[in-house]
Amino acid sequence: MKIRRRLNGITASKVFVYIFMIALVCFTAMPLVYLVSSAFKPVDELMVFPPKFFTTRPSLDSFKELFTAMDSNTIPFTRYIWNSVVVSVATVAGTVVVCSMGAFALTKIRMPGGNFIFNLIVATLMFSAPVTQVANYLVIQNLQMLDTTWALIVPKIAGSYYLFLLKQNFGEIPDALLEAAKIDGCSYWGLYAKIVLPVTRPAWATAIVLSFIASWNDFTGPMIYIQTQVKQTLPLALQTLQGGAGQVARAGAFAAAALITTLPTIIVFCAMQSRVINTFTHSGIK
Amino acid sequence: MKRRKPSLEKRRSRSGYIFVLPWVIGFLIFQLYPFIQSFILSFGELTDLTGLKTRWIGFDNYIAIFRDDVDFVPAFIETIWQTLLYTPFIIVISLVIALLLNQKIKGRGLFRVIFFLPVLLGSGTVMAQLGEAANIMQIPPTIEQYVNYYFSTDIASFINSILSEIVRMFWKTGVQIIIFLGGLQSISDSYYEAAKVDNANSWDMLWKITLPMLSPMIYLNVIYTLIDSFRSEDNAIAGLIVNRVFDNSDFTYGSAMGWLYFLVSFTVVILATVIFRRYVYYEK
Repeated sequence: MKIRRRLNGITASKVFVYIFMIALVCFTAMPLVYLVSSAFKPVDELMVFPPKFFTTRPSLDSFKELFTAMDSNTIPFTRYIWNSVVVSVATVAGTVVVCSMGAFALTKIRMPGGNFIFNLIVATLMFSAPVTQVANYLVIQNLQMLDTTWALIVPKIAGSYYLFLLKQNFGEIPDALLEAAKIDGCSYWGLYAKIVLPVTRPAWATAIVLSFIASWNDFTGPMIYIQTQVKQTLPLALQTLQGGAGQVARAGAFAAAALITTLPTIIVFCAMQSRVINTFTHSGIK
Repeated sequence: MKRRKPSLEKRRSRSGYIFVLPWVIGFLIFQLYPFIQSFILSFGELTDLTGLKTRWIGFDNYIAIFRDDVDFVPAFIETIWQTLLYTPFIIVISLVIALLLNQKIKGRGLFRVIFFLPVLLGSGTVMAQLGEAANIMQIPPTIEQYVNYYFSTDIASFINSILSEIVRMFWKTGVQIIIFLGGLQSISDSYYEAAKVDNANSWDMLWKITLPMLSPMIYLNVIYTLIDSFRSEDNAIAGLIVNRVFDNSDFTYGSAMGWLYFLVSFTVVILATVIFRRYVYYEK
């Protein structure tokens, strides 16, 4: 009797939850499943219309086609991967260092003008890309950074959003912890490197995830600032693979390239998933 | 004679400035300066494209936007309207999903990753290029067929358009779900236990405990959704500005458009802040 009632309790609500979740998952996960299955389709199956959702004969043809250069003037695909990795890693590293230093100063050193800087940050969260696009282009041009990798890295490092996120989290470090270290003769650099950074690992892990996704998926930046094909990053390379004269011939390569382009962001997020949720718990405006 | 050491207070604020300096420099060059520059540009007219020299023409650009540009007003209304219409739905959808995800079910971590996928996949920029995959962002074709089969043409197309809007909104809920989940996990269990002692059902608990406790997160999410939607690079206005600026090389005109858009979206966000702040419940 007792067991049966418990069983009923589970089936009533939980089954409904599972059905609902799985239905919703179909919407979000479907493109990814399609992406994976397309990448492993043999070339003849890619041409079928209407397109098949799953492949019956998985093959690595598309990857082989992607990584073997076509003509003498074609840039190898590994070059785009390299470009994207360089841009993203440099952006993420710069963002985390610059923004965490700023957040540390604004929360724990407290100097005159600090509050003003913080209010400025909140206001700039609303600056929208369409407004500053033109002037940003002119700045990049004046700094002689047009058509260089720098144009994709430097402007993104001082992001308001990441500083805001980190500042909200750094505020939760107890002052007593820092005071104790200060009495022991620790400098501000020491406080920053030996206490603040280790204690706030979830917060900057989140900054890493978010700035990595933003930089890796950035399409507008390279489209506007980069003209030379050799310096392009993956999102633009995808577009080149899809369009142009060799479109039909490279459909397989495109499917494989799309998978390679999306995979790193998914891996990075999966690795840091629980930390990201913890950080958002503490960054609410409270 | 030994020079006097600067006071502790002074040394302290000096190191504070050193720490925040790299960010401030980047902010001045890449955010504040372009922002002011675009304001100045919006009142000018390009006289020399290579040297980028401009001449002051006052409000002529702004007047031309309304008088001569056939695309601006429709794109503008579409963007604002879409944002205002989508935001409440996005909040409700993400709240429902977060409530479900917060229950003790198997595979919670997996579900979380899957619901964050749209954000990871580039919120459309990479997806939009995926050709046929882009169609998958719409309702599954089989559902559409059934709807067409069972209803008359008018009703079927109405239902299908609503379904496809829901799917499109669903694709923008990743960050909001995560913010709600964070909020839900910080609500102490003792509230629910006390309510259970008083024989409250789960519906009461949702309205009297969960939602009030979650109100700071709802507020944060409303503001985030509005800003995210206005800042989005694939809305109608952003596309129009890029087109005017880089295809027609009309820097000053594009700046005026951008500023007009900024002023309106800024006002909407401020209004939302003022309205929603009053309903936020803070735990004392």
